[in-house]
Amino acid sequence: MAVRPARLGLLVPTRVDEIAWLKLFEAALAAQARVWGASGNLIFPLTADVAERELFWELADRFDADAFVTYAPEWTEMRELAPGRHTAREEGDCHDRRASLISRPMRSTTLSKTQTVTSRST
Amino acid sequence: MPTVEQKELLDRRLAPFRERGDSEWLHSFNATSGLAWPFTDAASFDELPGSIVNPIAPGGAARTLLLTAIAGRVPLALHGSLSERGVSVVNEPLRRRYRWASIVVDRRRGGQPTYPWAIADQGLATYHAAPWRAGHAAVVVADTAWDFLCSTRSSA
Repeated sequence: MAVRPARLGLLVPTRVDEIAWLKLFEAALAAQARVWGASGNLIFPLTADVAERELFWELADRFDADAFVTYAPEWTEMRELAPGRHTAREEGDCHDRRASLISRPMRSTTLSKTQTVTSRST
Repeated sequence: MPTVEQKELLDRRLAPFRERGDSEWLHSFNATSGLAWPFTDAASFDELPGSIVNPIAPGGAARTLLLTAIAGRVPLALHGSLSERGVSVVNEPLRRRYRWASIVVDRRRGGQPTYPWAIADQGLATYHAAPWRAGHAAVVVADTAWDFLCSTRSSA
């Protein structure tokens, strides 16, 4: 009996928030550093026309993945993917929050940074 | 995420392994979330490398992509978990392009430091009959994502 890691087909979007596919692919590869046997997985671009691409079906048939997974980066990963955009948005959020606090009376509940990050990532 | 039609097509034509009746068979991953099926978290293994060299490309998205494909990269989210497990991560900025080329193009097998892919490659030799050496290969032949092919060949 042989044991091996799962062979995964990675569907990586080619455009998220105007970030170039090169960066998204790189981040998807890096995110697999802790996945056992990840260097044997295969990346497929997740484009709108993926189903019409013969190359995709040829590779997918030959690769015979055990499972397919999609790369869905969280907002915190934007620090590495697009540091400028991340900083700008964080500053924008601070500005928006400050403005809303000025325009509305302060209440006991506060909006944490984590909540903001979560809502951005969905 | 793929559209519903794309998911149905994938399911019909490729029949990926999944539980019977599992409608949410297409899993997602990123560098921040924990790992569950179908992934195996190699960072939780008992034996980990004592030190990992995390190479940093000398600028340029294409250079960075190729370097990560060949050597791997430790994302920020993983730094903490590795430190907790006693693994030191040493960032190595490759200031000269020849250093980048020696890793990505020459790909010498001997005398290389322990790069991030070593975490994911742990124990794979145990399940390989012939002497196992990971040879990571990445090719970019044009400008679009469909022109990038990255895979690993385990060679004897």
